[in-house]
Amino acid sequence: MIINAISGGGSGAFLEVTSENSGVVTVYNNAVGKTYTKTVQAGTPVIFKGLSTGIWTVEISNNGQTAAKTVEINDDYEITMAFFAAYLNVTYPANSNCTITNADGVVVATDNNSTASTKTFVATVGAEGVYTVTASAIDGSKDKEVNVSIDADGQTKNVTLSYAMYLFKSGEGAKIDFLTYNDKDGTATITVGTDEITLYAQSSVTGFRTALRSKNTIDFAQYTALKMKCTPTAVYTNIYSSDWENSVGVTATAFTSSESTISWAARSKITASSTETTIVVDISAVGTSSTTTSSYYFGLQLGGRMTITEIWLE
Amino acid sequence: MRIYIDGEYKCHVLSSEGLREFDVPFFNGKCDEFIEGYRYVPFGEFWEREDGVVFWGEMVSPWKNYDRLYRAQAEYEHQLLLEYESALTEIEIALGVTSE
Repeated sequence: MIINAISGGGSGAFLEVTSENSGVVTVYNNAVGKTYTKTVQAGTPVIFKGLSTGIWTVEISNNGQTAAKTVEINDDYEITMAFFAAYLNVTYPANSNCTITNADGVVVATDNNSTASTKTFVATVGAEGVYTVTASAIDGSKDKEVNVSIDADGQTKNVTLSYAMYLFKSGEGAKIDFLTYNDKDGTATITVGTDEITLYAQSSVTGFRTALRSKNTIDFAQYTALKMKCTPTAVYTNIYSSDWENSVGVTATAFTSSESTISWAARSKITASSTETTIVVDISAVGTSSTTTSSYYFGLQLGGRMTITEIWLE
Repeated sequence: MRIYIDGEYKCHVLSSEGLREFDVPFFNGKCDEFIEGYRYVPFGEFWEREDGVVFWGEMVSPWKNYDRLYRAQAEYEHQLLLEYESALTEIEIALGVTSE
């Protein structure tokens, strides 16, 4: 949109507005309490007459797209404006509704999915900023939200939402079948209880380690993060193998003992902490909804002492 | 294995301006395609994903589809095995040894 201020005869100035797109143009000056509105066709200028000198705001809108500029009207000038449009490719869970709000809490897009499969839709947003994308189960049982930042016209961002899948939850115990591996000499043990999973090595003598694995493969394709809430009070240094690294993550093979060399697809190291901490592993590139060449398991290996209260996927 | 990471913690096999060098045993024996499909976040640092989730190091995680990296590594190891077998055959021939 091109704005030309033309000094006219008589009282007030002329303001000529030309737009590359059709839309509605609103010109206002709150200081003098004046507002003018005209419909503009692409390529055809419209003229606002009798504008007093001062600061005016010019806005144009069309099908959810907006653009605004503040101009000082006195003599001739030019301003070029353009509509802003960016795109959010949103994938959200089955049997859910999806809502996108801007930083002011205004709803800018919604979508509904009453099917048993995930759904993807494209939302157009008309300004830079941080948008909150929220998926809510139709039955009201759960929801998930993520923030995404848009900072350029024409930008496209992919957003995937999924509800948390718990592998272990304090008070409810294991939500999946686990395999536990104690140290072969019995000097380090792992116990899966109802309130917590306990890993305990009798001493810091290296070689005393435990391991935990999901018994079956897990479809990680719909999740982007593995999280574990734990208190690792002691983590002992490994001197045997670089693949025993006191870690939690996703493994590409089904290891079978606490001494196994684990083929990690993604993992984060466990480091000692006297307070509860949440370890987060990026698994956004692990797993696929199409044919896979490898199977994926949750895995954990530790030489030390730790209690775990929650393990979940988001 | 010596690797280099950029400002997004993505791994590179060759040094370049702006990259930081780290020795990461996780990548021992891995082919270049595998390594460069990964992200390495050192201990004490964090990476914030575009959706706002924060990942503290030390972490290794793929940013390219892991299946693809897995296949690349398997093919790499297969080629190595063929080379070793070929070299072994040449040695055997040179020594006049016959494999039964």
